Amino acid sequence: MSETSSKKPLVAVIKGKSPEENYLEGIEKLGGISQYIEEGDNVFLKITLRVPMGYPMNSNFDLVKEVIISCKKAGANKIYVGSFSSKEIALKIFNDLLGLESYFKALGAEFVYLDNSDYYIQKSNNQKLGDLKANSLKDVNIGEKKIQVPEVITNSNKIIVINQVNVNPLFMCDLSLINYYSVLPAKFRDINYGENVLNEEIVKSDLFRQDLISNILNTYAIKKPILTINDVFYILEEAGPFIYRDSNLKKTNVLIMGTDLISVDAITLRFLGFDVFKNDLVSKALERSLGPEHISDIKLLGEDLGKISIDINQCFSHLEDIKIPNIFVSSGNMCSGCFLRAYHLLNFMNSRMIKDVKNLPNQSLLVGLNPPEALFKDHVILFGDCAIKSTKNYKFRTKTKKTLLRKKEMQVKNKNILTLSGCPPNINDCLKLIFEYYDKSDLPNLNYLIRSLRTSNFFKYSKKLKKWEDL
Amino acid sequence: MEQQILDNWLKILNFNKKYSLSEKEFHSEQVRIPLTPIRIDANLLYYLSKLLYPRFINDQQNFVDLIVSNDETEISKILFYNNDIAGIHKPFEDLDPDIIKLSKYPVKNIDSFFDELQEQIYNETNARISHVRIIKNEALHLINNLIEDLVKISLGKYIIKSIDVLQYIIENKLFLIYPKPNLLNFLEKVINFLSDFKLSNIFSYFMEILPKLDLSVILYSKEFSFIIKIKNLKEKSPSSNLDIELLSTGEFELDFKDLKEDQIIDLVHETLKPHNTFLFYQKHILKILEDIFELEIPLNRNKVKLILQKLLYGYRSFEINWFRDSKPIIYNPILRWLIRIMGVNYNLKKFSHWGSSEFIFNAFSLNFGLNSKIIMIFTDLHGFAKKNVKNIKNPIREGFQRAVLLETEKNNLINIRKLAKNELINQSEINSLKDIRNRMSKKYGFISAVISIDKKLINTFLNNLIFKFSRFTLFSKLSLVRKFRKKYYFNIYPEGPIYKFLKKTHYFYMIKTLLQILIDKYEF
Repeated sequence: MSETSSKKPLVAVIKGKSPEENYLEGIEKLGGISQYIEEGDNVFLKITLRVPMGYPMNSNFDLVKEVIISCKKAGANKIYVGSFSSKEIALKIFNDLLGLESYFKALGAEFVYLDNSDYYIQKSNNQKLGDLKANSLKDVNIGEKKIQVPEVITNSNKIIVINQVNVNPLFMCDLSLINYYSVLPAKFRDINYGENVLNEEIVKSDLFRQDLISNILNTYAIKKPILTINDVFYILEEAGPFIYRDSNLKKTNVLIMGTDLISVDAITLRFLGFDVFKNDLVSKALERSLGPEHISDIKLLGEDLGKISIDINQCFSHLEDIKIPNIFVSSGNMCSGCFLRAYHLLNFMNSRMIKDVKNLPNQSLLVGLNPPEALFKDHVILFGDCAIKSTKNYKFRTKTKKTLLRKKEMQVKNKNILTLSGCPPNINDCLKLIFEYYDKSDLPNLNYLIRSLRTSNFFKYSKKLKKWEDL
Repeated sequence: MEQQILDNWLKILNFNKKYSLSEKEFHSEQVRIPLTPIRIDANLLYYLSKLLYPRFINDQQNFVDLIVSNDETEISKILFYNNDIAGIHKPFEDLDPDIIKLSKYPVKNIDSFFDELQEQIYNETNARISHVRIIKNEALHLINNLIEDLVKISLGKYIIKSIDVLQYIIENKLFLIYPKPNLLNFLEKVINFLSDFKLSNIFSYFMEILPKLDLSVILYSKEFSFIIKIKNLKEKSPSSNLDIELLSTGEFELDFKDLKEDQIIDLVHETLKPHNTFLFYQKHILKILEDIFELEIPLNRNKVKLILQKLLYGYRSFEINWFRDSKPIIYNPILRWLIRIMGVNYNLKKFSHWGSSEFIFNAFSLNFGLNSKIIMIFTDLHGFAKKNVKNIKNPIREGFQRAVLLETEKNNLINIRKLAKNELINQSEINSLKDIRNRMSKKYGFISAVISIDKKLINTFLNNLIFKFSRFTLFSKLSLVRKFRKKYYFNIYPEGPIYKFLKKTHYFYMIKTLLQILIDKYEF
């Protein structure tokens, strides 16, 4: 626990010309960097690393640079920069495609391969890799669950979170709490329900959401950061947090930073025009006394929030609103897991497979428990176990065919049904299934994407990452 | 003003007075396009003025030219044009410069100045002017100096000089048209946006990389068609190799009446004997120009995408929107069918204008992000060593020609900055792109990518994909890919997925995969 936790949390809201200038002004308002970083400290900068692509899918590296420089000025001994990324993406890919290692090295910091991908990409000695993994991860017990956290994080004297805020389909926007959750390897973040949990139960109580919130808050409780920076200078709105076709990058010129992560998140929500108490992630954190006792306890510095707060366009809250050529979504009751994955799959198809979907015939995508009958019965995509199981007796499962000679009508099984199973389904698996199911010449965009990922070693590295996770 | 320029102008005015397009009568008279060395048939100039002036400057016929002192305190001349047709200048009337008091109505308050000028001119002439062209003495002096060289130097050199003059005039606000037309607005914005650059240098570079050309372009309309003959002879020095002629059909007694487009092409091709002949419709070219002049600067991604889509749509409409002399072999259905058997769909008539532009813009935003900084280094390795360029130890340093930093925000290009060689290149070390990226990131912020590209590759690209785009010359296309894969011709750091794909994928699969995106699958 940080030393400042007993004091009133300070949050600075700074509006200015650039995120770097805002940071310098903000840190001054918070008492100067030497209040937080002492001579000889080992500092871990927890940044946003979602996918190895351009801004704003990851942190603004100019802002990270400024934080590194200020930590060095304060006398930090070592500065580590890192994060685990989205599922199945080895950190080595980030370096290959963004050149992060040499960039941070030139600034006097170290980009940390938390998943040891710098080793296992070069060498395949399982024994040595096992030792390396054992030495780099530390077991931590959370309730009955045992998870592993990188030692570089637990051993660091100070942690600073530099979070790129974009809209988020589940929690309004990507808060620092969500960012901080990726100090855990993807294996421990992944939520999947097997056959032994009833789909109805999962949906009824939105088990996915409850578990996700609980996991995020448990992770936060392991070790709290000394400083949190929510970068809302540019924010991706409408469709996010990845760059999608409907995404819009909004410039707010604002940076929000403070001593308590929950307080910074609460103020960020307010700045973006959201009701803090309607955000179940932050309100649960407040309930669990992980943040300030009352929002009014937060000491605000800098700009007057009432004067500068803005409204942003949130993500679509209904899958039907994501308009994709030739694909018509019908959803039943679903948990946040299926919603989240279907949201990303649909946006991905709408953004990266736009030519592919135009090549495909009209089809219905059914998602959730007891969805409405398919609008286009000839071609159906079933997304998730709930949709697969609850539509067993639906009309689209069979179709009428006339016999060749007597022209007699008969019911036959509809074979044009693509099932994307999982509770919730994994998007990468879904894309693989889509690629296998349709004619490849109908999917030029996906074909190119898979080939380009192959030449970028994405699949090779993913396999090795999986091996590392299973060690 | 130079006597010969004045003579030329008077000749044009006299011609305009006696000529009418509706007469359909060809008057054999040659004039020069004002302020250029390009000689042109007077009939064609008349037509171009009538076509372009109302569209790009002002669609009303009456206006005044105002010559003012550099400090805008004195008017030296007011030339009133009372024309019958917008764009067709008739002899002007020299009005008393004192009809408007600059002390009361200064030029800088252009709205009230124009209102007053309009009123005074109405009082004097009983005619209402629609716009005013204001030129300062300094600009006139510069133009006079420029036209002194008019007949002495080559067209290429003349264009370079006139671009310099134009840039100076616009940067220093020495010329104004009120109400400001889109064309002038666009020019002002482009010049201000590229304030770090000498536009003539960009033109010179373009001339250097321009491949050898000999083509005739017919700009067709039912009313009046004309031909632009462009020759770029590489054997001469880079700045004097360009030759542009604007030819009217009357000069060669060509009659397009009742002819189909392919017959027109054959006729022109036989008469002028260029290497290639193309035919475009004037209305399409004008529409594209209008769209370009309406562009916002800094460039807005969506508008650029729309223009690109229009251009690509035009490209795919071969024999609908444009024509060429000999039908490229790739349009032969039997050859296309044979290629398709091998799994490659190369039907340029089904070129996917939207799919291709989506792909290009998507690739850019995913690789570099919505906000990015990219350094582009242009090299000329063959200028350093004629042969064995692959053995040059420090290609960036030895071949360095110029470098720019491109900055995008929200996916729009917002800034282009010129980078000097000494700030980019470290003389004492091998300059890898990685080192350059990390060094420059400290100064300019996170650089998303550093790209080095050699003149040879750009030249091959232009030759293969722009000027000989519809030829099915497999080997020359492969030579472009081969050059692209050589690090000394093209290099990027960090290597993004698209570059890795283009570099590592087998030629056949690379072409097949890309053509699936660039060409629509279905024939109907």
